[in-house]
Amino acid sequence: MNSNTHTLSILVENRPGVLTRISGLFARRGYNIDSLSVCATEDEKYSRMTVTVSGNDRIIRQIEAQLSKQTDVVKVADFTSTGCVFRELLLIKIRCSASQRSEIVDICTIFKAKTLDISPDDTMIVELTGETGKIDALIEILRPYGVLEMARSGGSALERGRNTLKTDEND
Amino acid sequence: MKLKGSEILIRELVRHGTDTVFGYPGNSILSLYDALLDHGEIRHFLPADERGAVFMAEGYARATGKAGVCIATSGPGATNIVTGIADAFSDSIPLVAITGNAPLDMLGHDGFQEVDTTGITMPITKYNYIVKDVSVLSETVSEAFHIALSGRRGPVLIDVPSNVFDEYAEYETKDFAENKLSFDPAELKAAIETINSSKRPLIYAGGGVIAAKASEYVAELSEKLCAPVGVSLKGIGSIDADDKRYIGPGTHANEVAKRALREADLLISIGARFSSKATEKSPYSKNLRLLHLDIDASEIDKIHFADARLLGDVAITLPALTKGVDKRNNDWFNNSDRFENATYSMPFQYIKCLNRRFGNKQLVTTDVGQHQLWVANYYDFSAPDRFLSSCGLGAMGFGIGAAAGAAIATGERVLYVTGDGSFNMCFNELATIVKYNLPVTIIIMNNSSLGMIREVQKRYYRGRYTDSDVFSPDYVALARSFGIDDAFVVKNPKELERLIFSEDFGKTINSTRPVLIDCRTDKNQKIL
Repeated sequence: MNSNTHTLSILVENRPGVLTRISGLFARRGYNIDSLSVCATEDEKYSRMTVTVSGNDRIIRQIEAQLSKQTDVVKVADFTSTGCVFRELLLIKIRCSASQRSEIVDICTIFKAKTLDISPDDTMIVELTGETGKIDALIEILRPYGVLEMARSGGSALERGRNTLKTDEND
Repeated sequence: MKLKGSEILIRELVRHGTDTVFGYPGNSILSLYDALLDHGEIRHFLPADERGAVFMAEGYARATGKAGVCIATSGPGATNIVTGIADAFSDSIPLVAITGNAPLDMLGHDGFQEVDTTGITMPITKYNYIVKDVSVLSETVSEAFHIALSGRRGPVLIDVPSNVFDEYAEYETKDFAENKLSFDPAELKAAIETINSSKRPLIYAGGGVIAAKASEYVAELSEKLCAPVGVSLKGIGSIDADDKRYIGPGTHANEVAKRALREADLLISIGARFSSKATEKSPYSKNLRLLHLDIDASEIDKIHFADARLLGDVAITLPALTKGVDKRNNDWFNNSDRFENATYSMPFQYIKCLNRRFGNKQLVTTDVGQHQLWVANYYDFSAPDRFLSSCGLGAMGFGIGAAAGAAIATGERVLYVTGDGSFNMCFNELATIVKYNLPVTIIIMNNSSLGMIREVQKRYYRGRYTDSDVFSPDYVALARSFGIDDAFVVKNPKELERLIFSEDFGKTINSTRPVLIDCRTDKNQKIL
């Protein structure tokens, strides 16, 4: 079986310790997390965790089963790449002399990235949201200028169409 | 009506059928103890240390099927029950553990006897709580019992900062509906087809059968399929050992079970989880197919890929399965050589002698080591919930607390079989057995060594016996120092036979008096 990256969207009860509980489950069972994010949802009773993991189908099914039996977990969905929209956020601080500014802004335009900050000490902060591959690509393009620091979020994902992770379909 | 947190907690325990708790007082839990004094409907038992409390609660739960309740104070009290909680988690035993903690405004200050109890126990509980608001205490206790007892059972811990016991809240009760467990008819259909297309089905029954009270259904399936039945350690007693198709536990020494596994073409696993001890070095045919029945979806495909699955409560799925399969008239497996290869070794004779004296329905607890497997292999049980042992975690020191808890729960005499290594870990609980005058018969298989470790060292470490010798005290003198006058040494199975079949001994075990018998064995006996 091939190892693939999966995006698991997990609706959890908004209870204390839920992040520790879920991330602890991944850690102690040795599942490979590529990224993890937790966020609020439209209902304050629930939070949504988006986890990208790699593994073969059997491991992914096992992860889903382990998650589903947790008291705090309301629902788990394994999003296919075509069936969902997926975004990460990148903030990247690079070296940028005054003479380089315009070419970097050109790159940003192509990537639909935003320049958030230009400082007189020859640095610039750029923001990009996008899928993992697009973010990787921008980082590669900017690397020659000198990456001073970057902050990259875990992914957020929603399924396309009418489906939701809500427990009550009438919502 | 506004009540104090301690009062709310106790009322919720009572409301959930708790008549017995096992615990040890300490500073942060004293408010609860104070309130206990006003509640004669709950019996409290004090162990020698908190490990004893949690193992007693486990013995109580294992013998009755009810949730065991244990109480410990913050810090070392909480950490002392960690092993027992892990044990309950590993063996799916319903347990509600209540711990005190530092008051809310002192949490996280690293004060006296403060540890992060919920952090420590998170991976070894089905769920745990820290109750910071007295108004949710009642609901929390109710949910804790619900979680401990529903689905695949297990331990739940409630950590309570000490001030919460003393605060007042409106006492309201909340009940959690039992989840209705159904099954997928398509899975049932596929399971029936899988069985019908097999030639040599072998049934493997685990602890899930006993938890679901589904023993009779295993016998019915076996009868209809003419299929042999093996058990996991946890599944011992799930089928009558006298059943003509019983092939014993899947232990290393059980050659008949190994042969069945080699020859079978379908393994029907019922409420068992293929622990490493059950599956290591078990040779099975490459063509062996697996039909896996379990209540926990995460156990299916976890260790072995299942060719067919049937998710659900085996008390519901098994009868449906039995009804659907074709009846067979011929046995494919001959188990008549079950004890042919048994060596009639000293331990074998000791255990068989105990079995003859105490019978197949005797409550037996064990610790962990050679003696545990001697009992598992050689003691025949004809009823579930009779063999109480730390099967998954393998916690030495389990047996004495479990024996005390089981004796308290049932009022029956309990046979506690241990080794000198295990007994030395927890014999402080003799104090508990004597204090409450519990009818426990203690059998120490005494070889002055950690027999199992020694065996492994001999086999895999070229006989380099690093620290596997044990100092064995004079156990008779030790027992007498606790006030156990019925304490004996026997040098061989013949002496044991003479002792336990004597008239005097009969009188003793018909009383509630504890008994200790130091059974000398030699350290070169093997089990692996």
